[in-house]
Amino acid sequence: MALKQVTETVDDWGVKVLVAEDSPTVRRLVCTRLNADGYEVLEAVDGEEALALALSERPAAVVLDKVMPKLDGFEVVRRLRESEQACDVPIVMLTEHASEDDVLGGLSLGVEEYMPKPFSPRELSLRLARILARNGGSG
Amino acid sequence: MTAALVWVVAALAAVFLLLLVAIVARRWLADRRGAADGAVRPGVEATLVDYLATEEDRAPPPPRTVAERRVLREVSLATIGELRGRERERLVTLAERSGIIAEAEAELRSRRLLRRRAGAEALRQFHSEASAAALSAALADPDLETSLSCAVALAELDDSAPIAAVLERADEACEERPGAAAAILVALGRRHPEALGEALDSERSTGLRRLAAAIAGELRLAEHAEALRAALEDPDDELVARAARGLGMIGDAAALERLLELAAAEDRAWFVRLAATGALGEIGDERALAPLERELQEGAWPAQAKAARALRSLGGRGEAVLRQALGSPREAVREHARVALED
Repeated sequence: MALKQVTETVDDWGVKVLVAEDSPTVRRLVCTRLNADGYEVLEAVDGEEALALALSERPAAVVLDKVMPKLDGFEVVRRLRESEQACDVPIVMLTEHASEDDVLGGLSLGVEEYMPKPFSPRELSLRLARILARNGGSG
Repeated sequence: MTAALVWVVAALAAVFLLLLVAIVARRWLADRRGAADGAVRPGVEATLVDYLATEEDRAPPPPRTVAERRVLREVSLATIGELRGRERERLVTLAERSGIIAEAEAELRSRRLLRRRAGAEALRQFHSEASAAALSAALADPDLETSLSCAVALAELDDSAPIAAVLERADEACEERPGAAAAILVALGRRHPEALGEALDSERSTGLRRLAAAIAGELRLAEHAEALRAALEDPDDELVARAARGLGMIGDAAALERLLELAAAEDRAWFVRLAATGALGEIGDERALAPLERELQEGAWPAQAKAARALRSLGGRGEAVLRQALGSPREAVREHARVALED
């Protein structure tokens, strides 16, 4: 599916996406990008907030930094997968220096996609759109 | 006697008072600075994000106050390592236009060591092509930390003019700071792969050649296979082992004959034979079967493990040898074969 088509599909849905990232500038940048691409964006500054928002707001997808205060990204994924509300929510994980074990561990927990840092917010938005298009996009 | 004692006590009290005033003043200045930074931070962050997220070429107005400039630099440095692509390029442009790069360049000329280090580290993060001249000049900094940061920063720029000087710096540093020298070579290997050929030259120090051989292999730089094959003839065992591993990673079939000899060379260190054995498996040529089987049967424990893994990576006939080894009367041979087959 071409980028334009994917973006238009997302615009039509106006889907809710949770962005959990502890760096305020990176978080705002990602949120601004996703907002511009038609998503309704929820922000979390640490793992605990991410977990609470994912369970209460039931976003269509979660963008999760691996390294966060309070709960790390893996722990958030594990708890989401154990929950009833968000056991199948697609997750994109942002990682620095991901080892093979990290990637395999995350994939086995159900992380849909890894984006190694440094990353491009525009690429993240496109990948998210593709994941949502593949998964039906409902939130 | 009493008068002298009074003077001593008075002097001590005065020193104590001065120290107290200095501590309080420092604390007050730090708090004031923190408050000023905190007040401008949200605005600076919002301006930065707006600029990075839009397509407009027009940069935001330059920082108006010292606090704004300080926070912009701090936020930019915290963010630059997380981004790539257009957003990163825009952030570098913003740092150039807002004077952050010029400020870091000026810090490189400071008399204060910590300022020079901070300037070098900032320029290393930004990769601004505009900073090449200042970084080249600071390669000669008497502080090793500063000059090595400048060398890595230069290695990551597109400009190839300073490469010779950067390699020289890496060569000088590889005894004292091999990790830093390796960081320079990794950066060069990614941005200017041809430079690793110069690092492998026999005129260079053995330390630098060892690092270059390992990095050329890790980065799979096939254009340096010939230099790595030449390194197999070096008297330094460590260099030979690293060159063998590198050739294995590259998958250089032209090195096969020499690797077969090295795998059986009793006059070389055990780790040379081990590296050659592993490389034979990585290259995947069936002529490696016999020496690998011999290592599996007769080698020391690490060599047996390496040979078993290499046989597995050879596929069909290698796996047949491993299955046959499962019936060996020697427990170690059976165990290595089993682990390799299950891997």
